[in-house]
Formats: sequence, structure tokens, C-alpha cells
Amino acid sequence: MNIKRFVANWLSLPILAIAMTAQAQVVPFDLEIGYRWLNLKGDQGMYRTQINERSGLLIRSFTLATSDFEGHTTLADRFRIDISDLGSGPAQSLRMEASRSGAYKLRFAYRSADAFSALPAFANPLLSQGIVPGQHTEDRRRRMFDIDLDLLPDRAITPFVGFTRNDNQGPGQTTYHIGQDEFVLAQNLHERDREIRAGASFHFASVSGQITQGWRSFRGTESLTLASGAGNGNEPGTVLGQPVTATSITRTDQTHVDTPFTNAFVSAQVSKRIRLIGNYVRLSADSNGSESESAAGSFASFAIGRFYTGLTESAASNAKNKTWRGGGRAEVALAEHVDFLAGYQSEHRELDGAALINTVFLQGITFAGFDRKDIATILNARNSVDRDENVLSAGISARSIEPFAFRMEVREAKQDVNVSPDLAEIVVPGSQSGDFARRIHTLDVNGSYNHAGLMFGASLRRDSADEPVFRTDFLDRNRLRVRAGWSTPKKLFRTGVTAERTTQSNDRTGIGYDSKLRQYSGEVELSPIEALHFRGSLSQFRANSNISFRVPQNFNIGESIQQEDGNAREGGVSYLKGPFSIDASVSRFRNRGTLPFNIDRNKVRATWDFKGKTGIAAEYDRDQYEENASLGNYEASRFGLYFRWRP
Amino acid sequence: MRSHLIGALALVVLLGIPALAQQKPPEKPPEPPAPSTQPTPPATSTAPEATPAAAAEPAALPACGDCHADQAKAFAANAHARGQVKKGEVANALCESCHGDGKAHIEGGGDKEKIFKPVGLLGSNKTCLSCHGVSNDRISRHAGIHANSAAVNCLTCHSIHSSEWHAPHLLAKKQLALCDRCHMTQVSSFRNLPYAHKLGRGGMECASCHEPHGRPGAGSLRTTSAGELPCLNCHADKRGPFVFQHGAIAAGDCMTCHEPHGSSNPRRLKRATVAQLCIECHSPISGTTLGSQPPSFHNLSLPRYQNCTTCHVAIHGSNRDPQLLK
Repeated sequence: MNIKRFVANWLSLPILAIAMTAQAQVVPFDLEIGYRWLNLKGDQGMYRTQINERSGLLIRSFTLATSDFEGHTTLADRFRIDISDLGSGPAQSLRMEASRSGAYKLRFAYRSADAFSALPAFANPLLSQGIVPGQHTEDRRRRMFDIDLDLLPDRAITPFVGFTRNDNQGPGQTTYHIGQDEFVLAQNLHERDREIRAGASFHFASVSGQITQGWRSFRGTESLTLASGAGNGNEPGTVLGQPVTATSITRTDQTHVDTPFTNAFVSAQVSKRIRLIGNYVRLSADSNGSESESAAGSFASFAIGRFYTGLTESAASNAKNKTWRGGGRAEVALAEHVDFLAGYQSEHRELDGAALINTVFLQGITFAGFDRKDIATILNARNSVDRDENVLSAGISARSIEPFAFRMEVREAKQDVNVSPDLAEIVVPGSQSGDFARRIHTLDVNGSYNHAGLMFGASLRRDSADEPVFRTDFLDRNRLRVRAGWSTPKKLFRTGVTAERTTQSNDRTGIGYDSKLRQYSGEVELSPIEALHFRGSLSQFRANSNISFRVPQNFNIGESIQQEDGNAREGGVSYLKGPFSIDASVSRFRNRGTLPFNIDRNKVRATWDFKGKTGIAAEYDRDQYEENASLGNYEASRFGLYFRWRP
Repeated sequence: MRSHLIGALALVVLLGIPALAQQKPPEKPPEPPAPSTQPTPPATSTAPEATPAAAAEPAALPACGDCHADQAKAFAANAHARGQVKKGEVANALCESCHGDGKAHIEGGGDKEKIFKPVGLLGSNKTCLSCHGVSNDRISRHAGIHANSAAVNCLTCHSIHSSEWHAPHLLAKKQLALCDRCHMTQVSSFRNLPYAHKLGRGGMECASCHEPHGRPGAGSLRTTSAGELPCLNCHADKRGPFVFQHGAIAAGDCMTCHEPHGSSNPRRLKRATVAQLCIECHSPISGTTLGSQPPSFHNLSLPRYQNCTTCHVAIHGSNRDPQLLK
């Protein structure tokens, strides 16, 4: 098949599918396309950070799916496209699948997600001066493409190839600390990640498995320049009587990471009752970075004990990550639907990095005013982290004792971490390196009951550890989850509740970590008639944690306290009768925790199908966000009007 | 590269040889327990041609679609019907691959007692798993919580005859609504908390990170094709490796600092202010944990020092600054 013909065939598939609607056989599809309007009052930065739905054209949804081409094409016997919010949506997607039995299976996916952040208070050193938003903002978009092709699916050997492209780019703003002041920099980021993978699945008699060999390539470029009007810096005043200012700062960072990886597993039914599964993953990432920086102005440095008028810096770095993980698992059928499971998993990770950083401080003079010359410094650093994890588990699951099911698992996880920082002592030496070992024992039990519309489930997990690696690591953790539900036949009434309680603690001297998380939810659905459906839910979310810490400015012992106390109430109604449908919902969320806020959301969606194939849909969304500081408050209403085509 | 392949091949050989030595033919799939008739073996996707064609049916019997017109029509988009729907007609053999022999049912005037309906844990599992009984490193029903619960079976989430049109994989509802039935608190976090991934639109769903059919390990988390946490599928820049890696990542993972299901705090952090999050580890009072002490000029009473990332901008890792300042 030549390239042109191949491309023409593929492009013709969607067209063909739609054209078939004009013929005797109808290929089902559903299209909603229209326009959305936004009316925003309040803080745009907070709205865009949280929601970011904009005015504009939108394919709200499109689905085409068929497995019945009636002989119109020999290219595919199954075809499906799904589109969601393509156009002005903050998160957009397109998925396509095409396949022919025994010949091939093709999957294509496109996703796009906005990454916007401009919060009034977050990382904002000038908040007390009333300057908002903060100086750490971004307005980026991530686009991801995936394409996978399986050849001869479901045969003894199925070769496959795949490709992923992940682009993240856009402007932003950040701050940079240099010369005893802090300057705002305009940032432009372009990251490009590519992954190619190929391999084969196989299935011979009772053995099946897959082996994948892949190559990833990451290229990142970050360009920074002094933001307009930012030359005076964020810090008022002088350093030893001399103002710190910048006339220019430019920096370019480039990072290249190449990562080959291998991923394989084998599943073997070695007897009627025993299945063995083995897996192996290995990756080897090699990162090379280069940086060039120049700055001009009037700066001070306590490290070299001088004022200076500029700086040039170049850095070359190399970091490697070698990781492998392998393990095996046995699944033994003791009886029908009663299994014994045992597994062992081992992981080893090595991180090694080295950087050579050459810095020249231009025209340095001592704080007393002598030695007007350039000062060069070289930082040659090497760091490493070794991390091993071994997990041994065994359990039993019984699913056949209807209406009951039961599962229990015990697990032991061992973690060994060795950290060797070189020149990474951040001003105050200590706790930057060493050997850390931690062993966790876990008991995980759950049971459930399901009969005549009544469902009940409970799970308990208990973890106990001998040592913490981080201060916030638990020594004891208990999690209890309970779920219950009841539904009548024919979906007239349904109710469900869930409750979850997690506690974790570390009572070691100097830590005193204690954390409690409680979540409760309940919901009710009622359908007095088939066309009418009511629903309502209540949920409560409470979290408390406290841990002692050393206050940096005075070295006293303080207590860090985090609280969440949120409750949500949601209600909705939907009505579907003939060509008309309406769905409305209201939700209220209140959080009285460390960061109090209220969120009210209202949504209405109505559709009206005209005779036959066309119709309209209208949507109204209103989101109101209020916080105590009121800096980020907003009220956003969106109205969408969409044309519907459903042949 | 060679060592990668050798390791993988060794694994294949080690596990493959004992099993291959058995050389048993694949087990015959269990037959659905039809009440009074011998059912037709389920059709498999591996051999669609093995399914009896419509021509093999007794000519006198009416088509299933004559009475079950809605189900038959819906099958045009159903993966189970690929290549087997002719002129909009669903062959009886296709229905019988799950429901067993329908002759008695048809001859009994549609007697509901004379047709097998795969419902409940055993019914649906026996029928569906005769073809879809996958168990490997990517999917393990046995290790997952769903298959070990009396509350969940295949038909709890999938609907063969009336699936949600906009949801792929014959799901009965869109994912968020489906998972909400049991995982209300997690779904409520996505819906209500101000900083959360945008689920339900734009391609990201619960199954983007979790394998609902079960997977060994906590949370049945999916991994990248190189075996990393699913976060790194999208956030490729956080993979590193970095010369100066933040210890929270080197010895922990993304969840050391972030709440993936949604948070009340910016950047889905676990604490309301950045300083609070950082200082809880960076206070080596006992001196036996990983995490250094900030120097005394970090005056936490000032706004500047309440957000450590104002200066430590490369918080995930840096190739050029040990203090993660750039």
C-alpha cells in the first residue's frame, strides 16, 4: 500500500462513516457544537486557576461508534471517535479507535490541558503591601498525543508500536534571588517529551506475556529575562548602605534527558490451579543540562564578601537514574473463587548527579571598598541517592461465598535509603545525608455483603513501622472504611453512605506527629416515575494534624497545626420526556479549616430534540468562590448554546 | 540497552519454560449455567469466525431482535458484534454466546425462565471472564479490590445492552458517576474542592491513574510504560533525574507533598501554606530523619518566608543549585 493510499484510506474513514448515514444503514453518532459565553466578576486570576472555562466555540461532545460497516469498508470492522470540549475548553480530548478483527487495532488520543496559575497569595512576598497576584504565575498549555498500533491482535504473537508526544509550553513569571535581593523574571518555557515504544505480546498455550522496549527523549528550554520595571528588586532598603539593583538579567537553561526502558511480564498457568506472574521493568535515564546566565547592576554577596557589578555563570550538569524493579506473584486457586495470593517485589533505584558551575563576579570590591577585580568561583558537586524497596505479601480472597466476599492480605515492606550530598548542605549542616531504613508491616482486611439490593462493605488497614525516614512518616496508621447501600428493584430508590477514618501518628521525641482524617458521605436517589429523577447528597470532611517543629528565627519549638472542616450539600433533579430533557443541580461547599472558603455551584442543562435528527442544548453554570481574605473572590457564569445532531 | 533486553528475556524464559513444558491446550471456558438447555459456548474475540453464523440456525425460529428490538439496534455500536451484524440484523448465535441456547425461550413464547441471564457475581463473572479472564502484571483481578468484593461484578460497571453512549468500553455510566456510587468521598473532592484535576471532561478520568480491574500494589495505580507513578505520564518535567534532587522525591513520591484527588490548598498541596508543608520535615529536632533546618534569617512571621518556593523555585530538583534556588 503506498503512502498516499494509506493516508486517503484513513482520512476517508470518518467521512465514510458519516456518509453512510445518508444510505440505508445509519451509523450512530451524536454531535453537540456551539458557543459558550463567560461573564466573570471578581478575581480573574483565581477563576482561571480553578476553572478557566472561556468564551468561544466548542465541540461540547461528539461520539461516533460502530461495529457494523455493512461491507462499505474492508479497512475496519470497528470504529469509534469521542471528542470532549474541543475548542475553548480548558481540558480537551479526542480519542479514536479503529480495528479489524485479527488484523490490527489502532488507538489515537489527543489531550490538551491548560495550566494556568495566578493566585493572589501563593508565593507572594509582597502580599502585605497589597500587591496581587503573586509573582509566580504561569499560562501554559500541555498537549499530548498518543498513538498505538497492534498488529495481528489476539494471535499467538502480536507486535505493537506506539508513540507519545507531550508538549508543555507558554509564558510565566518567577522570582530569582541574586545579589541579596529578589527580582521578578519573565519566563518562557518549552518542554517536549517524546516516547517511542515497540514490542510484542505473546500467547502460547498457557503462557502469555508482553515485552516492551521504549525510548524517551525530553528536551526542555527555559528562557528568563528581567521583567519590565523590576530592576529595583523586591527588597526595600540597602545592603551595607548600598542599594541593590539590576539593569539586566538573562538566563537560559537547557535540559536533555534520554531514557531507554524495558518493561516485560509473563503470566503462566502452570497447572489448573496455579498461575505464576513475573514482571520486570528497567529504565536508565541520562540527563544533561547546560545553563548560561548574565546579570548586570549593583549587587552584594556575603559568600565572597564583596559588592559586584555583574555576574556571568555557566553550568554543565549530568545526572543519571538507574531503576529496576522485578517481582513474581503466585495465584493459587484453592477452590472455585477462593484464591491464595503471594508475591515478592524488589526495586532498586540509583540517582547520581554531578554539576560543574563556573561563576565570575565582575568588578568585585570588598565591603570596605578595595580589590576592584573579577572573582571566579567553581562549584564541583556530586550527589547520589540509593534506594531499595522490597515488598513481600501474602493474602487470601474468597468471592464465592455469596452473598459474602472476604479478602485479607499481610505485607512487609522494607525501604533502605542512602543519601550522599556533596555541597548540598543548605547553610545549616545536618540531616542532609545518611542511611535511613524503614520497615512497614501491613494488615489489610475487607469484607462485603450484597443481597437483595442491600450492600455492605468494610475494610480495615493497619500499618506499623519501626522508623521514620521523614518526620511526617507514620509509625502507626489505621484506616477504616465502611460502605453501605440499598436500592429497590427498578431503580425507584437508592441510597448509599460511606465513612472513612484514618489516623496516623509518630510519637517519637521531637516529632509528636498526630493526624486524623474523617470523611462521611451519604446520598439518596429517587425516581418516582421513569422520567423524573431526584438526587441529593451530604458529605463532611474533617482533617486535623499537628507536629512539632523548630521555629527558624528563634529556634523555639512550635507546633504546626493543619485543619480542614468542610461540608458539602448537593441536590439535583432531572426530567426526561420525549424530545425534552432538563438536568439541574445545586451544590454548596463550606470549609472552616486553616484556609476558609465557600464554593457555590449551580448547573442547568436542557436539551430539546426537534423532529428527527437535530436539536439544541443549553447550559448554564455559575460558580461563586469566596475566601476570608476576599482577594481571590469571583463569581463566574457561563452560558452555552449548542446545536445537536443525532442521526 | 543490551542488559535491559537480556534481563527481560531471562524472565520470559525462566517463567515460560515450565509452563510451556506442560503444553496443555487452553482450558475450555466455563459454560453459563442455563437452566434447561445446553448453552452455546461463548464467542471469543480471538476467533470470531468460530461463532456459528446465522445461516446455521434453524430457519423456522424468529430472530432475537424481533422481540428485543432495542437491544439488537444498540448492538450496531457494540464491540461484541463486530463483523456479525448484517443489514442491521443481529444473528441469534451472537445473543446465544452469552445467553445460551435460546430455542426453548423462543418456543416458550419468550418465557423468561427458559433463557440464561448472566447476572450477579457468579453469573456475570462466569460469562464475561470466559473471554476476558485476564490476569497479568497490568491487570490482576485477584489482587484488586473490586473483584474481591461482593458489591462489584462486571455488570456493576459495564452494561452490554444499554451502555452510556458517550462512555467507551460499554460503561453503564460516565466514569465519574460510576465511581461515585462507592467512592463518594473521592469524587466529592474532585467536584467540590477548588484545586483538583478536571475529571469528566477533556480525557482525564479516574481510570487515567487507577486500574479498575485491579493491579498489584496500593490503590491499583497504573504506571507509565517505564513503570513510574502515573503522575509522570503528564508531568514529564518532574521525572528528572536532577543533580540536586529534592529529598521528598528521592526518598518519597509525589504524594509526600500533593493531594492528587483535590485539595483546599493551592497547587493541591497538603498544607495551607508552603512554609508549613516544608517546615514539618525541615525541623531535625530529633536528628534522625531526612530534612535540614532552615537558617535563622527565615523569619516565618514575614510573608516572604511563608512561601519557601518564592526563593526555592526549583523545588522538585535542580541541575545547578544545591539550594534549589534556580
